[in-house]
Amino acid sequence: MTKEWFLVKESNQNMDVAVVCIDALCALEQMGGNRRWNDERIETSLNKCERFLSEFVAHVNSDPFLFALADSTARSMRLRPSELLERIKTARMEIAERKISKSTGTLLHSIIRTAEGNAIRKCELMKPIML
Amino acid sequence: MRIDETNNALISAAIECLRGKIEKARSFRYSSSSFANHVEEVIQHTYSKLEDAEASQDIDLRKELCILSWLYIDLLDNQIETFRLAERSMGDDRLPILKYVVFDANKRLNISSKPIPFFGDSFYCTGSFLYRRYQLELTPLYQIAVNVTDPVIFWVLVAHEVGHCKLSEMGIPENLKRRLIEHGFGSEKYIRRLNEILSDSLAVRIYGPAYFASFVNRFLLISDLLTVDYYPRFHFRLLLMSKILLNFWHFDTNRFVVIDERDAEREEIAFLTDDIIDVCTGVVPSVTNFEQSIKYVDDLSKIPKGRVDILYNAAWLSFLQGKKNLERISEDVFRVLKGWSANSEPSTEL
Repeated sequence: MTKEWFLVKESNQNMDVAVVCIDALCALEQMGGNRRWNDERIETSLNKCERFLSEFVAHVNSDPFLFALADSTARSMRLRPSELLERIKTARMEIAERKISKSTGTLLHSIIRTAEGNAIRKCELMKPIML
Repeated sequence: MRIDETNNALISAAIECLRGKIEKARSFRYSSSSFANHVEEVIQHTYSKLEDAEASQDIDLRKELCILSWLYIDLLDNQIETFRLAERSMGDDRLPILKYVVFDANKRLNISSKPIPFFGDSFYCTGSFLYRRYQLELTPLYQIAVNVTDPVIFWVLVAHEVGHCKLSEMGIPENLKRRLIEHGFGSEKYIRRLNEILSDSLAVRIYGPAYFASFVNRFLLISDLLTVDYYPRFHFRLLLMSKILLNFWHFDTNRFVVIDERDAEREEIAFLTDDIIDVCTGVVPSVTNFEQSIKYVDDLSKIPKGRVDILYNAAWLSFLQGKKNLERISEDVFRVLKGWSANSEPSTEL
């Protein structure tokens, strides 16, 4: 009878992905202009995103959560799985160089939207009555 | 008005609404300092995201930050509601005993923070608030319920819920996830089944036959309820636990329950049996010698203080040998635990 534990865990997994991509976009935005975060926070955020994208590529075929996330993101972007992986590899390299293209920006936003959508669905399932 | 301006206005309104919700959550009085600290920690984290949303010039990013903040508060609302249920349990004089049992399982599985036990409508746990692989590290918060009308003899089943908390902290080992995908079982329902069977295995490692006997007696008649997609087949659960009991506790379950092995073998993740046993052995390297429990079957009051594992095993053995019925052994276990918990550190908190 641990439905709630699963829903919390699954929503948090998705929120975890969303926040790492969001923080990277926030960091990159500040590098181009008005800085509010200190250098260390900016660097840490970008390093975490770089690590996440590396792990995404490395484990997408062995981690069920990443596998499902990749599938949904590829569908939403109308990409083949192999094309998505190429885009993720490119995104990782661009983040390592601290300068991203429009295409990488679009990719990160798509991952965020997919992950947040999944998290919202899990949170709603925890409630006894839907509005 | 341009569409961007409309969106910005909506986002500003959402930020204002979220700030109001946060202040409301902060204004409540909580009867546990650890829970109050947890609420504050989540609030601070959410505030920082709202500040980022206000400062960003990217309309998409602002929206995504608001959604994320909304999710944090939504989950926090859920935890606050569960905590209020837990606060109601403070009026129940069985709570110190429940805490004693839950904290014992918690200690045996080496969980990083003490859960909040309470009486609910079933056995469940809420899990840690944040999955902390990439996010800021918040202190985990676990809330664990036992069924309010169940007698104390069944409370050993909380070990399964504490097992889930352990899985929140350690995650599912990579090799198990990889094998699931390799066999075409990568979807959510199989991951959930794997979590369930791992939690059973951890529970049976720490409490042995007592957990198994509780599980069988509590759920056998209603096992159909546990055969929905997200649970492993009931007899697979029994079979896997019985293997652990035979290998590590030298306890043969054939003495008191017939396991339908053909039904068990139909479980799609049954191919992971040996790996699951190995994982749980790694987490709980040693188990109590069952012989220790046998000598206390006729007098539970002589069990060394704090040995919840021996207490429950001796009690269930007494039932299985037909010496006492469930009501009598529940009374005996309750009496012993009441004595032990009375001598523990007093606590006015949950």
